[in-house]
Amino acid sequence: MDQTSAAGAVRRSVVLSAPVEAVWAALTEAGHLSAWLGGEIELDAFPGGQIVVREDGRLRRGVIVDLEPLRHLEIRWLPASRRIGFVWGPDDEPAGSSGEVEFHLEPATTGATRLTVVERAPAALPSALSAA
Amino acid sequence: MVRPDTPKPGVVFEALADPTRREVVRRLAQGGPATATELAGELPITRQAVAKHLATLAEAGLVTSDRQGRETRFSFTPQPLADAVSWMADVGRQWDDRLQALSQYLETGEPRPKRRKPGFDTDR
Repeated sequence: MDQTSAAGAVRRSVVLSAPVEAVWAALTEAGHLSAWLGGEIELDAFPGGQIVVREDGRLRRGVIVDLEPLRHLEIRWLPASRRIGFVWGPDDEPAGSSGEVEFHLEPATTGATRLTVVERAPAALPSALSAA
Repeated sequence: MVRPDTPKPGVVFEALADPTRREVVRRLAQGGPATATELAGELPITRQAVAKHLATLAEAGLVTSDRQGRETRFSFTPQPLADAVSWMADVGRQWDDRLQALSQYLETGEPRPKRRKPGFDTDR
């Protein structure tokens, strides 16, 4: 596994023994996604769509900021204060937390896919987040 | 504006992305507390520029100021940097787990067992 990580971003790159279509489905179809990730997931797989993850009484909400079928998916997690009008559970931080996850897919050898994941560190300042 | 108690890793990394700010941090970490004027005397930048960089570093929790009379001394506080580094390690470990789970799922089509779920926990 490739583990290079730039400051402020964690990057992982793996070759999965499944075609791009299967990997894409595993990332963008709620049933598949929750099967390997866990939790209860709702996902609108289009740019601007929402992702909602419920797990162990916690709720996380994100927005699909970019989606290019079979190639690229980018999710921005919303800070807790913008998730829903109430605090869901004790682990929900009350303010200013976010973060972004990006998935890049490319065909590797026949029937295999290189998947690269980049997670960028959450920033602290709600003003910067709402301006983004 | 709501200020969280501890600076988030993104802010810490952003503050340290600038080479001059890294130089200021290095100087404070190695040489001990200093005033903006002292720092400007040691680094190839103006006092105003030093003050601006110190403000950014303070926002990220990497420096604290101590005012004594007419003098304000700045010192390096390492904790946010340690937190940011451990954020990197935690997130890396989580992705290793998740990608392992994804790989297994794609190979077997079996959902992962109920209890050991890597989850999608992004807030720390």
